Amino acid sequence: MSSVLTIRNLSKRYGHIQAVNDVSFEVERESVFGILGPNGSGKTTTLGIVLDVIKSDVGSYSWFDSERHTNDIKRRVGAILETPNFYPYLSGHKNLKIVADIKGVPYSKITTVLDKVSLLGRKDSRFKEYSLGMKQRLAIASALLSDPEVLVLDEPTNGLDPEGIRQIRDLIKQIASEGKTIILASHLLDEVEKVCTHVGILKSGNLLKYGNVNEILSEEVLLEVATDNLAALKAAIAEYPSLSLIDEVNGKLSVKSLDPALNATTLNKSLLEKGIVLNHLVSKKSSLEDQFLKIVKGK
Amino acid sequence: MLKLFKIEWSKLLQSRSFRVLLGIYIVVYTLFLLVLSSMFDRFSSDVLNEVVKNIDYNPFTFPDIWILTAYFAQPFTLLAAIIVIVLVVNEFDFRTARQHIIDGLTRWEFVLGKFITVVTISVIVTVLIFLLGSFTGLMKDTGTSPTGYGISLSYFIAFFVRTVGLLTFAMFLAMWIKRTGVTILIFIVLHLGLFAAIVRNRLDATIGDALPMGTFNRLIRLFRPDDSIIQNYEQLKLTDMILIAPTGQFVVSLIYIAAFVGLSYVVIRRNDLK
Repeated sequence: MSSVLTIRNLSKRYGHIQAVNDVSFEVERESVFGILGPNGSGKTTTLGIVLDVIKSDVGSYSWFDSERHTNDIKRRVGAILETPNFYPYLSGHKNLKIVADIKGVPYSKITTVLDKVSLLGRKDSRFKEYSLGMKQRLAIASALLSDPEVLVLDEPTNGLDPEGIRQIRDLIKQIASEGKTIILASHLLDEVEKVCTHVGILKSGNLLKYGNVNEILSEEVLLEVATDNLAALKAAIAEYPSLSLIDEVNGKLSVKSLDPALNATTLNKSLLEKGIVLNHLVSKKSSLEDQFLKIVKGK
Repeated sequence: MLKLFKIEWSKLLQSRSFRVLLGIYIVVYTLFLLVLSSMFDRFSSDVLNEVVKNIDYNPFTFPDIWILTAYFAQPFTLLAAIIVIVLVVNEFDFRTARQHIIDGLTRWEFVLGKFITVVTISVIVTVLIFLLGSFTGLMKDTGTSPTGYGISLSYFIAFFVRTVGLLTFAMFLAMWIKRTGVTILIFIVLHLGLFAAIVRNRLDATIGDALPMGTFNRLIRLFRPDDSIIQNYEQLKLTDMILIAPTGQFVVSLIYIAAFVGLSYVVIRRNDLK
């Protein structure tokens, strides 16, 4: 599969803060690539660099394996960075006319994209009168105007109500199903888990991990256990080589099992034989969220 | 170019600050001209008859009215400059400058687009003062011959170049500072020629006059005592005291304008668009 975006050793420093530190990754065609990280982890800076509005200190990037970032390439990439950026005093339709002029797209396309994001009925309202969800949808419409191969979205559901979040998510899935590559920055794991095929995890400017969502979302078993004598339980768990203690919350221990044979049933039985009676036992699969928190906390 | 003009024009036309400030400009300047001319009427009937020989002379008739209009409109350039500053800073506040670059506008096109706005506003303002001058002239003119309408085009060219110069400078400041209030304040201080005046008085008059603001502001100016042009004080008309700069100064003005456009590009190119 050919690469849509290649990033090599990008670094960017703002004064004392290393916003992006030696980040390299590749986005494959027709994938939905999630850039995941808490606020301030360097997601927007990374996207800003590859979108030609922020200058990197070190490193390089290339779209479609092309050496130069020409206007032609910009037309093949539809992007929004952070908030939707439009003239508040102009209507949605007039705002898109300006974008169409810049991208060299006929005005007839405006109706098509507005229809796609269900904004056709409100096209003549001023941008500032739009709800946040409508603003986000207008931004997506604007990004879709030149029928780009790649869509870059930065926190597209930020600040939206559940309905708005669902609308945007359905829209992203629909666009992805049309064979477009999507690069999505988000601090919401749930979002990435639901729509992305690939994920890169950023923390404090460092790319901690990146790859297929299924690979990162491993099949390992997580157990949550509790008992009256927590110290004895901890000691007992330490005796199992395939178990590791991950977390302790409200007197409950989160334990990871690397041995599939050691599950809730067998552990319960085994602990009982050691004289430890559990008063709480939950078995769950490690979700991306746990993975994410583990990766972020671990380093 | 046409594409950029189209983009900028649609932004300009719907901008409330543009409409409001243009409205203020028209109203205030019309009032100003009317008050000035009625003051002159009173003044001339009471005092001027005693002092000046050519009693028939009224500068509020054609063609002198155009010279007066062009001269007195100069301080109002500040309003046009505020429009430019607001429009430029808006691009950063709304983050539309950044979005435009993402969408495929080059940084140079962005600067050029704003310079087109500057020229457009300058044309509008110049046409406006011409119309307001004509309006005042028609009100005052009691049926003199149409030959009197021979328009002093050079004054309008000077006014236009001066306006483009000052507004380009305002554009550059706005792109550099990216804040409306501070930019307007700095523009006022420099536009009044305070800096040029200090240089003029403390260092050297020629240097002060050669600075950008000094150059723009003296394209149309009142005579100074050392101007030898005025010889016959007997037949002095009010408009004789308003002088137009030599061609060389226009050339220097154009060079300054090009330099400010270039500097704007340097500023936009060097900094991240946050």
